[in-house]
Amino acid sequence: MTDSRYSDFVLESREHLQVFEKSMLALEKATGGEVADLIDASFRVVHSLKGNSGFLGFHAVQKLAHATEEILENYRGANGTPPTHVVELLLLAIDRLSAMIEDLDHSHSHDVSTLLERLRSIEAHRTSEQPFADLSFHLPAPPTSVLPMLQSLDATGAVRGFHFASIDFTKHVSEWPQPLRFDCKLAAAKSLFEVKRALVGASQDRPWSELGSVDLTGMSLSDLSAALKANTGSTVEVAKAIELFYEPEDFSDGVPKASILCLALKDALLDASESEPQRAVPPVGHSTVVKKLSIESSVPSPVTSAVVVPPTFVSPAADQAPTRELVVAGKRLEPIVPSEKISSLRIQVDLLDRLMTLVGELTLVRNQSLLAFGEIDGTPRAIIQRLNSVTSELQEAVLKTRMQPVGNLFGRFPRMVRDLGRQLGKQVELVMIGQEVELDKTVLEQLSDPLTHLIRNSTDHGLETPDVRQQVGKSAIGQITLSAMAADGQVIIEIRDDGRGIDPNAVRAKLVALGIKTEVELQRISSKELYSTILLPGFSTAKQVSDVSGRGVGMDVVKTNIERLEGSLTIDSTPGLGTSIILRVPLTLAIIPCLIVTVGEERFAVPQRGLEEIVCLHPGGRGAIEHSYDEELYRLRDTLLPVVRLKDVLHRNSVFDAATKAQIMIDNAPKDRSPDCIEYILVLRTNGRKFGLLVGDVRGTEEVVVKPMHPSLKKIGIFAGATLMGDGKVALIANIDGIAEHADCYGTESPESSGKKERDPAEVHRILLFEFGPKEQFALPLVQVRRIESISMGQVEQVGNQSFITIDGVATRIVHLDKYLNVSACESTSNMHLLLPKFVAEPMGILVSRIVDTDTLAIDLQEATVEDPGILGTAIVRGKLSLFIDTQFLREKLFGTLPDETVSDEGKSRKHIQRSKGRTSHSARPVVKPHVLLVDDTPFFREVVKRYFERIGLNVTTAVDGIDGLHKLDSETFDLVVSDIEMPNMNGWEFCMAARERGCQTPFLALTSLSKQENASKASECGFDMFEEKLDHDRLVGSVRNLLGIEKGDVR
Amino acid sequence: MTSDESLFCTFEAAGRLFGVPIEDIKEVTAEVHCTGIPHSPDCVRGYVNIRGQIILALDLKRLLKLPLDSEPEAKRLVIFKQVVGPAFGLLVDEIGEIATVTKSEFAANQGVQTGLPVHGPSELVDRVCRLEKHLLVVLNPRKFLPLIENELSTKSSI
Repeated sequence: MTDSRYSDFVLESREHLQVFEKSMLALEKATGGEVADLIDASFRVVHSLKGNSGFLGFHAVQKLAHATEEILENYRGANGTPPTHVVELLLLAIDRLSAMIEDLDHSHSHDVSTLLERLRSIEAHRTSEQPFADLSFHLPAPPTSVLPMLQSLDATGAVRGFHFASIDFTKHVSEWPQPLRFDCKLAAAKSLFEVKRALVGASQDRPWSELGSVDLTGMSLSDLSAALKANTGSTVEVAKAIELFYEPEDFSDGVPKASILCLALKDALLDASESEPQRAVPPVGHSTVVKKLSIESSVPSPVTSAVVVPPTFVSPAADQAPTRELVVAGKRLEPIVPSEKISSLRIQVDLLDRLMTLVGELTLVRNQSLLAFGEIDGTPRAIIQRLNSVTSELQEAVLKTRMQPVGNLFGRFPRMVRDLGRQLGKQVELVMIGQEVELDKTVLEQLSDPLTHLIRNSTDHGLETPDVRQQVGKSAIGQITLSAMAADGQVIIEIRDDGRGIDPNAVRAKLVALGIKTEVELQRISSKELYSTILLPGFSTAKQVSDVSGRGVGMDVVKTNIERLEGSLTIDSTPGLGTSIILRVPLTLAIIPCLIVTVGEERFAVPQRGLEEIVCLHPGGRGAIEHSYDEELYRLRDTLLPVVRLKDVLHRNSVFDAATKAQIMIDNAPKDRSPDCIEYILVLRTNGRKFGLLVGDVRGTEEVVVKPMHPSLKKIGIFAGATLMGDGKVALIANIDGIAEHADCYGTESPESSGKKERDPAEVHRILLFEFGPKEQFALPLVQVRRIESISMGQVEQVGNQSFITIDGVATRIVHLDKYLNVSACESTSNMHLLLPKFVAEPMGILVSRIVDTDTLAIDLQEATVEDPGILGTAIVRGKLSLFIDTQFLREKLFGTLPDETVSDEGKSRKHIQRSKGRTSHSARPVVKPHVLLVDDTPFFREVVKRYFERIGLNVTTAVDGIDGLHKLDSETFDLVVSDIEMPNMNGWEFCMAARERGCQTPFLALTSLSKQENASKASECGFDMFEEKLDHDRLVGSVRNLLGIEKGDVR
Repeated sequence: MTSDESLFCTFEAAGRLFGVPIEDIKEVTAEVHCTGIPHSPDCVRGYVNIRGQIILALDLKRLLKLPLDSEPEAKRLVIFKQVVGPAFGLLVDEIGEIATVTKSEFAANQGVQTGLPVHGPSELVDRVCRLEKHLLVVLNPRKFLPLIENELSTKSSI
């Protein structure tokens, strides 16, 4: 039955209901004129819905719409804001209508009678009331529903014998808790006012405050009844009072009191009605009535303006009351403009797709025309150029037709958050920003589920309950910010909550418990990467994890969905302050920017999303592909980048295994490469890992229209689709993830995911190359450079033969290298550089005439080339002999002695005593030079540290790794072992543990570039006595002295 | 044409005559420039751009394991309707005439051997009929794409 005739109706109705819902939610915070506008908008759409459904014969829909319309009608024309419970009911009606619209075929069978009844009862009460501002109650008749209710109360009998204890109405009003049902309270207050007035027999025009309190103690029902009867001309006002008490939860001592009053009033009412025989009480079975009672629990009274509800009404008691429903819909909804409708038109998506294809085809024709006409004749050329521009504009316009504002998607969330908040007992404010940002329809549709999930998560797990929030000093109302922003051809959607955040330690603990990561691995990952582990399937499905991490099941599904959209997802969180989830999705799936590359003659499009940079492999240039085991690598600055050749990926059908990789290595042996061949490495990032894709040529970038792969070829993972190129040929679009997977290329961790990466591979250093005199080139590892200042020689001051310059407000000694080293002097020019070394406490700077460059290289330090105490060694860098300067030597030359130890006294004594048992105390025989074993795989560091030690009078033996170290330990005796951690063959941890297992008592000092904070505990577990960071000379020397138990100057 | 008769679009490949029901065919084009698709089975020749629509081109000779050598390059692409399968076509050497075959003719040829390579997929062949000069092998184009999918999945499972 649901055929195309109705599809328009369904579409339109959906839109109507959306407008309706939006308006209803906006009502909750609208004021004054906005209310009227919103009611009007709602009324119009419901009216159309009613009309349409009636016309098409969907009578159930029509009925419900009609009942809804009736209620709205009452509030039209600035007649006040519908109270919350009415809005609630209207929302229910919307839900029901939506359900019926989505299931038109069965809309007739929907049972809407209960809902209709509720709507009608509200409507009935409403029509029987006057605006609150008008205090005279000339009502035509008591609400019909009152009588059966009273009767039911009567029938329960339980309350009959009760007397009023004491009802001080004024007191009650002020003590009322303050749930959001203001309106209800006001109705109650008003009614009470009437009752009270009736009781004291005050005239209509006396204000409430003058009435004073009424002591009803000991007053029996009949007394009350009589008093009421005596003082009121009509029973109507009395009856109204009853309305109040149907919300038992609003009263701390609840039902009985309410019932008593009801009962009393009922008596009064019945007494009154005796004299008005037309108001006979119809007999009603009490069980049904009780049911009804709970449904028609509250009767509305309009609040004409905010003045009626003074803010002082909010009493401290508010917290105990069930206040769970403050959900605010957005900052402010845009006015619902009915004229929009006139300028829009519904078009089938198929037609748009076809338009897209045709425009693409037109582009091809244009390109061909451009080629065909060339530059022979001026006239056609001009025409072609116009064709050109028109085509481009057309393409743009057609693309735009697919774009929709994200507001269309966001629109559903206020309702969701509102309902969820109520359900969970949380107060949530949803702020939406950037609803006008446009996204492709398909992207928008596919974002729906992930976003819903994420917002649910934020509400459920992210935000705390109001009391918890207040305990930690936050506002009770939790805030979720949903924002959209367009940037770089992408849309960035952020879901931020100000909740409890994710506890990184809990995540760590769980990762270890689940065996996803080891402790060692965890030490190296950044918080961002840590949070991204939440997205791992194994993680999120583990139930207990979601409890501690605060993130629920299914995050991996969200991630997969987003990635399917060519998008990405990142999580950031500050414990205690909230979590932010950032989605990046492309504006459209139809067009993506790609790099066009070639392999042989074939062109391929590589999406630029994951592209970080392109490296040109020029035979004359410096980088080249290197080989390591079964992988090809490229040394990209400070990291080793695994390289995959696109050619190999294309030619080999099956996922690369070890044998394939080995074969590839043989096939790609360097000898085969022709010397004039230029190749490119695309540095790509996928899933936080980087790898290089080697391609033949890069033709440029192009925005390509993506066509999906043929359904029968979906199994081919290395392609994401196909596209038509300017010449009408088809090119395939590479799927970076698929290629990485196919090539079994795990890639290196990207630099930001492990900040220590650059320091890890021991033999690779970033060094600074500089010149002083005209002849030599000097070098200093960047880790030893604090910074470089540009100085003008005019600022230099001379004191004797020493020169100073003020840097950072400190007089800094300038080092002229030729004065301390056997190197050439420098012609002073007016502008020079001053290199400020790290790990030197005294203010000194090395004068530099020219900064050559920085470079990353494996230093092959040659020690004996230049005999100079201030030169650590030499290395050939860029074909030139470079002298590595010993900054500590210069410092000593300038400032003489070394500074005092920096290690704390506490550490000193403890360590010393601990290890001095069972071996000779070295302080007892200072004549013998202490013997130190230095284990480090890096020649450079070995040399530097060795010199540090020799300078303080130690006898140093070196070893290149843990295994070498163990051998040395076996053959010689040492007073101290200083070991690097990151080493090949056997690392420092293993070395130390092995040594301790053999019963070695020698103190061990870990010397590493790993962060002390994170590794100190591990170091002590492994048996290290101390832990120092590399190259901090003073600390190191201090610690060594400490461990050896030698005082400064003992051995010198 | 009576209800007894069927029309077949015929085409040649490796010197043999094949046919498919004419109602399955959308069009026949001379555009045969293919962009190869690495990792796809042998019989997939690649994508062809037909007025902005990308069509998957299959090679009939490779599908049926017919001899490839000494063959002229495929000159025509037979594109099937959407109901047969999504956006695909068959590369053939030459297009032949429309053949009309009656039910009784088919019945008379029941059991006639196709003479196609035995290791080729037999499910592609629907019926056979001896015409004046040639043996017409009627193919079932609906079986083509499943064959490819099958081939891809068996390969990936190895």
